[in-house]
Amino acid sequence: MRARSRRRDDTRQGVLPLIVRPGRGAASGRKDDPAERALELGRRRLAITGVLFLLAFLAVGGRLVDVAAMGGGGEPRAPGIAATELPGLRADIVDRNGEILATTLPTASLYADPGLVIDPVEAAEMLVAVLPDLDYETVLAALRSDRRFVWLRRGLTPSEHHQVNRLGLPGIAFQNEERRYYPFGPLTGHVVGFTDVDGQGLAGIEKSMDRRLRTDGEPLRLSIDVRVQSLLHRELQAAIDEFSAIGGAGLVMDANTGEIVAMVSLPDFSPARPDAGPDTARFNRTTLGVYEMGSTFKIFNTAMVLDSGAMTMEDGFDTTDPIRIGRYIINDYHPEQRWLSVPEIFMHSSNIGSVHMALAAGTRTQQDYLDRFGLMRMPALELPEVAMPMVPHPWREINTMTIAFGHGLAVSPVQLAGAVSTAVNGGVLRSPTLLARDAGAPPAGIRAISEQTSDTLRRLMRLAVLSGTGAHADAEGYLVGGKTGTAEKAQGNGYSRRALLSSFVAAFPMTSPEYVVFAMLDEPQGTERTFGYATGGWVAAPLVGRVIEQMGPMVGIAPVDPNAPEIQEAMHVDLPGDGNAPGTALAAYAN
Amino acid sequence: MIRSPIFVWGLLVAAAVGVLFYTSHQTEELEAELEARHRAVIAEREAIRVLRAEWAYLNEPGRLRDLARQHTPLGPAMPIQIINRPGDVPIALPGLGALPGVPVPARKPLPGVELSTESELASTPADRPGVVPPHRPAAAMPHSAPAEPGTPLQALLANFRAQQSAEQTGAGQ
Repeated sequence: MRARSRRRDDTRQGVLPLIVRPGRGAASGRKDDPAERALELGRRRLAITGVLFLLAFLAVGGRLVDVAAMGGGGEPRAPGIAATELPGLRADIVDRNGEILATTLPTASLYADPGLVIDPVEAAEMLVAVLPDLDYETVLAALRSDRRFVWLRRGLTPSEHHQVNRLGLPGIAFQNEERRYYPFGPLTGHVVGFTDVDGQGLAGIEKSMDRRLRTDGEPLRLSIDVRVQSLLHRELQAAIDEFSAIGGAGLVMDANTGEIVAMVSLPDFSPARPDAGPDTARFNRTTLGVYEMGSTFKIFNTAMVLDSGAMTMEDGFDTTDPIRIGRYIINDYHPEQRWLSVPEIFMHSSNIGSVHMALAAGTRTQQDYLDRFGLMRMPALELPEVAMPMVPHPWREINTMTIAFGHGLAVSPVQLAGAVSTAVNGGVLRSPTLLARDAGAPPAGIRAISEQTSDTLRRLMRLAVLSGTGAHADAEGYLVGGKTGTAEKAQGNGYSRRALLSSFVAAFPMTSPEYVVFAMLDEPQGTERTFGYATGGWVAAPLVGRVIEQMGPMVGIAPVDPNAPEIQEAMHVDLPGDGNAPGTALAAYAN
Repeated sequence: MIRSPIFVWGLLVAAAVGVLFYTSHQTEELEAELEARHRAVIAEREAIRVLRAEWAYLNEPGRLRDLARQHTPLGPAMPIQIINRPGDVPIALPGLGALPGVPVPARKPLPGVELSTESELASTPADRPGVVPPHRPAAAMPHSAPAEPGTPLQALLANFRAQQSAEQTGAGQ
């Protein structure tokens, strides 16, 4: 109806209707007229063209709406930044308290396009003024070269970046790079390790945990406590300086979980420039070095005879005569030359007594117990630099005898600390670890010795500090117990009297040990203060004592009164024969 | 008036188109702004990373130790300075001469025990800054002190107040 009225309107206004049906309207009578047919044809063409244009305009309009309103359909957008997370950086390594040990920083590296540099002399002068460690001549030569790209300096700090930018030099530009940064430098070098320029782990945790650090962005938490690490590092370095030692190693281990709280090997290196120092600096003495530990092995020797039932605390041996086997003579460093009970043999660190004890237990038992303490196998530690212990093969009777006082079987300090943890923590062996364990229940371990033997060993180690060779390690109030070790280094065909490995291993507080502290000096020289002695009791024990004294408050161990009756009771050892009562500090013997 | 529907429709279409284009343009602007904000967030995060690393570097324990030695008279806490039972906490005594920054070994006023005089205290090496107070012999450790078992803090306080008031009356005469 509307259409019809419109058509009427059109005719009334004299406008030609666009489409006229034949047989209707004014032209119906003359449909065979050629002019009329031509007109009809023209109208049709016009109509078709109109429809096509309409479709075209509709398509354009539709597309316009699509583009404007619908966001352009499948058309790719300019790549926007959708996330606010930094793109997959290598994960941080943090210590047990969350202090950053290794992190990846975005840095700018400075390069030049010498072709665009206007005045090389002025540019070089300005650059050297801002970056004083650049060499003027080198920079000038680089800026004058014919190349189109020269590195001037990799890894600028943000403030250096800003300063160079402010110079506004043409032809000088930056390239964004990532750089691994170690805030504590050499302090944790051996633990954390280092990476190459492409961020591939090459040593330490960086290597062993490489895959984890790449794939998971969460920080990797180590068991290391940087405060204790720093303390141990400083004390060890001081001792090395004082006794002119060629090196040293130190370890602090949680006796109940096997977590390594501090691990120091000196000399050390800066992970930022691992190539800078000598090769020996990159050698991790705590895990990769195996040493004949000397008398600290008497802890395990005593544990063996007591736990296996071969001897009791009342048994003993006459230590008057040295033991001769083949061309070897086994002697005591400070001979008592009398009958000594088991606790006295431990306290005076008698080699002769220890050999008799080992022979009483037998080679089989000795091997069994050394294995129980984890001293015969490679420790399962999260570092690539871990060494196999050097176990004698074949194991003759002479080996049984010398291993009783720690010669003939070489183990790494981390193995020794793990074994001492086992000896004092109630007798459970747990594999050492550098990763922080979840607080709460201690991890499952393997029982090595009975709780009662462990309790006896704690008393004996306390006795060795109170009345024996470890007197210098007694940090007041922390109930330190320990054992000295002085081994002669194997040189050529025998052992050297001059080249010593002096060590001390301690645990504290001895009523319920929390930490095991180990320190070792390589070839220390006696000083006037130590009356020329360079033995474990003189060089390593005081160092361990100082470490314990300072770390006690850090780790929240309250000092106690060592003279309190309940502590005296807990640490009491019956000494048969004419042993010295605990509490009387004797001169410190060595070995 | 017959044209008005077309006119109205046309107007509506024009308005819709206008609103559409305006909205679309605004969206684009907001997206650009969002992207800029995201970039800013990333830049801030990078800055935070750098600052965290710097913070770690500045907190290197050895460096802090050197600074503490240089600028303060403080040293590592010695066992004698640590009290781990509430009953052993000494009462602060006014008038005994403040020793700035130097921790004084526990001096515990006990009922029936004479308080040390000022001159006696002044002669202790703790007076000199930078000197760590010497270890007291083990016999002086809080535990082995002849404290009456279970001496309550209130009794100590009462005893101290009594002495103080006695001093004041003495000074008034």
